[in-house]
Amino acid sequence: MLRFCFLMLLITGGASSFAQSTDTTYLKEVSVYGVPFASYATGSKVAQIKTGTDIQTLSEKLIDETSLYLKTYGNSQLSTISMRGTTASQTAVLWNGMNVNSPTLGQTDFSIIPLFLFDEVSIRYGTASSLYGTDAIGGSIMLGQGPVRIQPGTTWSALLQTGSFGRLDAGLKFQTAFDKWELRTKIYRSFIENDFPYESPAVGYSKKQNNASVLNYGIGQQVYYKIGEHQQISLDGLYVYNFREIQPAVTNDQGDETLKDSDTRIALKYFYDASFGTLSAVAGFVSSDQDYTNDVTSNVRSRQLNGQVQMEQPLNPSANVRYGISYSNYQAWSENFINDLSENRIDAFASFKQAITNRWIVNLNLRQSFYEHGTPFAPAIGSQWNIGKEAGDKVLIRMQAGRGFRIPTLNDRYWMPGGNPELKSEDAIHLEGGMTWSALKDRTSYSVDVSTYATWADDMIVWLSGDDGIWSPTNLQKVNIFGVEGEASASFKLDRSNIRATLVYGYVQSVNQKGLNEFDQSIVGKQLPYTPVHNARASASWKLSSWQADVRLNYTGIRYTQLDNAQWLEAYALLDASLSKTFDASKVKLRVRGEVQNIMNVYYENLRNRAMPGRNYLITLTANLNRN
Amino acid sequence: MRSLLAFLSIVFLSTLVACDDDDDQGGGKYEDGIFVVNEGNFMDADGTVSHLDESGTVTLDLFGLENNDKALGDVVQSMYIDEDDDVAYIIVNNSNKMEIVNPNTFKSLHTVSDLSLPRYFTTYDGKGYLTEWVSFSDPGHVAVVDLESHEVTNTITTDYGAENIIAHNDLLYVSNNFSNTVSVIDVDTEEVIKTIEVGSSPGEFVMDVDQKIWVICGGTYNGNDGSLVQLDPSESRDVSSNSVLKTIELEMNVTPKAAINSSGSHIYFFKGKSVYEVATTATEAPASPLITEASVVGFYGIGIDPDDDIIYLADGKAFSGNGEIYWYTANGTLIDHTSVGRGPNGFVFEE
Repeated sequence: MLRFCFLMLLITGGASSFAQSTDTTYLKEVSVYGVPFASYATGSKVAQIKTGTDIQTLSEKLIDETSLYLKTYGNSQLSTISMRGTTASQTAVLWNGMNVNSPTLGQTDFSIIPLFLFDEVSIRYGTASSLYGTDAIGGSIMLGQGPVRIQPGTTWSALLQTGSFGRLDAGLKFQTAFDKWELRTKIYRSFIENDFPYESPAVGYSKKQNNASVLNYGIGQQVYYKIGEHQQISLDGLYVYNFREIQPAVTNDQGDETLKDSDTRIALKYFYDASFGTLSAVAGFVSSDQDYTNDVTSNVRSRQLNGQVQMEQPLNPSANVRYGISYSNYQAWSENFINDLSENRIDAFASFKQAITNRWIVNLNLRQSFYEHGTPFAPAIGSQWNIGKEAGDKVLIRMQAGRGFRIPTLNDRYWMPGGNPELKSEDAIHLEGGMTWSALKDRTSYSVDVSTYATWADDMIVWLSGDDGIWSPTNLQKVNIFGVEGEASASFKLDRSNIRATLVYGYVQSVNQKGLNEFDQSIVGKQLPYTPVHNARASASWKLSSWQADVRLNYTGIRYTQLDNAQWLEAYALLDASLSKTFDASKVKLRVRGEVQNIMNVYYENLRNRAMPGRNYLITLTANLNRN
Repeated sequence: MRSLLAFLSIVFLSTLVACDDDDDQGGGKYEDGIFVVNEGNFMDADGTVSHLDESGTVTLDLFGLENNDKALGDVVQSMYIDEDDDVAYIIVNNSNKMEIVNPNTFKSLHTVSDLSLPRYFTTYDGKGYLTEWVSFSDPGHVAVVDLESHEVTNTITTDYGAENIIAHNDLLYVSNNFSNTVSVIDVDTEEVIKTIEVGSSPGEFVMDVDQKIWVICGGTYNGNDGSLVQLDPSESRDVSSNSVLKTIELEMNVTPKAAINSSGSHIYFFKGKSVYEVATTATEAPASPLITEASVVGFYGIGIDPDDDIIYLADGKAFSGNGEIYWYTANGTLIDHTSVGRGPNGFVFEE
């Protein structure tokens, strides 16, 4: 029973960029080799984060730079996301157009995603099942590589990092292009002993973690080949290994649980920019192998094979249409599944984008997923108005309405004992509106972005214990979400230096609407557990010639730990600062960076009774070599 | 005059004796009323022991309240009160420890750590006996605990999932929940002298009016083969004889928890929202439940107050939040209900 319980348990704002104000075709996009779906996100809030220059997990990055809430089970431990008041399985994580959330758990462990292997991460806030399919209710996160230029030359970069609690990381990147080829290789290794001391009020004396070390290493390889002026084929592969000792609760002395993950992903992509339209096709393979050990080892393996084809065409100079089909085959193996568990899914999708005037764009997305117990048809409509007056002044108003869904996971349906094959998909309706205002005056630029949204989620899947003590999922829960997000940033150019300041705030009311049965009122009208109402971040960055100093304050509000809100964890604020210096020679660039995290040495818990470290340090040395 | 003097001296002497009774632990807050054991949410280490006093006031977390907000730990499985020594032993299953407290004030006396998935505890003849699952791959055992030094002096291996334990006539009976057996241990030799085959997933023991021991068995997964098995303790020392007197097939799966009334005539168990009553003289399962409480999410624990035969039931509410306890008269009429800690799984009554 105990083991079963465990197994269950996984920037800068602005709307999508778009070609400027002429009546020409909007077909050609610069980043078209990268993330092909970004251009159909009109009316939604999308943020882009540049990554790959540090060895850091996606969890750490999102905590540092966004107002998103990540539920972390300790330092460098399991980390799941809650976007806009939704659950961990209501955020889609996409890689080369494929949803790489675990098909068994339906969510992603963000502490295993190594940002060193990716050049950029896009965050799409709000429901987007019309574009990305299942899971994209709270938001979607796209992991991508930088644009391909195939300019002859070679670059190397090496990274060495050391920090508190026995942390030692090393990484190497290599990129070369010649003739019609471009190759990129990335390899890294990261280890933390994680033996941090802590004093939890629930225990009353100082203890040291003795079972929380994490080893993570991986390799990423991309190969691009330009077949012709308008045709390209590419291969994108990665392998990540993560071995984690599971940090026990503060009251438990003999933690000895471990979790080993091996993830492999390969995608073959073809792209053809023809006169009649743009054709792209992807064939992908995603495999995950997980061993959980607590005396005995339980293994869960899953595999996804995916093929998708899409065509994008101009209908007239101011309208584009895109349509396509995606096929996925999922398989999973575990002692708790029947043999040969396998599932096929087909998705058909279409998008239509029209520039009504050169300042007003409307986008319609449609998607239908075919799955045996039915998923709702997911349409979405978005719109964006640019009402800025002068050059440099931009005012964008955006609106979005759409339907989202989440197909029940393989665990939900087939886990033995308890799995319920009759489950329906979770269903959500989402509305949002927002405004971005940015201006450039003299040497100052500033932007303010405000969004407000509402989501009505129904048929949400909850695991409850049955009459005989067997836990089983049902489509029980109904949640209404309302939120507001604000981001303000400003940059000032002084004589020799540059200052940038950002303030981010998120407010989320995510309220449960139904009791456990028709008599139970104790959980109705209550905020979902581990969904803080307030989240905020303030940061400032000062750049003076080759020096850069950063300071950041992160605030996380009260989190309830129970559905009836009778218990909660205190709010906390963390202060981090860093200083870096760059040395620039002709072909070599060297950067040294020192960072102090949790400067005020605050004792805090993100999850009940899982200690987090006090003040800690990180020193990073990066070398970039350009040989053209 | 002499009789008055005699009377006065008797009164005087009796007050002296009365004073002796409550000297050190005099008048603790929690002397009366009942305790509710709450497991807490697995891995959150938020298990508690709640207290319901005679006026209906509930204290949600006794240990935290009386010990500077210290946490009891992860999965508080059970509590045992040794009436002779006035000590309470709280077993915290997933924190691998036992907290020893004063049952009247709930102040912490001692912590026994480094256990191996402990489950239930009992005392007999001055020694303590703790059941431990040990691990999910090894057979369970009984650890013999010295009550003064709190050291484990011996371990006696039983079968997989050593769970509940009851002492009677120099013998210990242990139910092995991951298996289908009850192990009998001789208290003097500290060895297993007999292994009795019962139903699948045996759990709690109760003793009836005829000094026979009953064990409730949950049954196999989806097998609808839960049962109540009556054992004859007088057969325990004879390895070849059949200790099982009778088996009542319940024809459904149940949580292996049970309670017996003060006269030892009727056994009570539950399933889902219903509570069933079986006479110890019965041979068949009850046709219908004694109590069905529609507002309950799912019962998770049962206890009967030996003083007044009030039946207490705990609704675990799927660990979504604080649990709820309901209590009924002996004939099944609801008296009241109230909130307790998270995941209530049992009741402890002070005698």
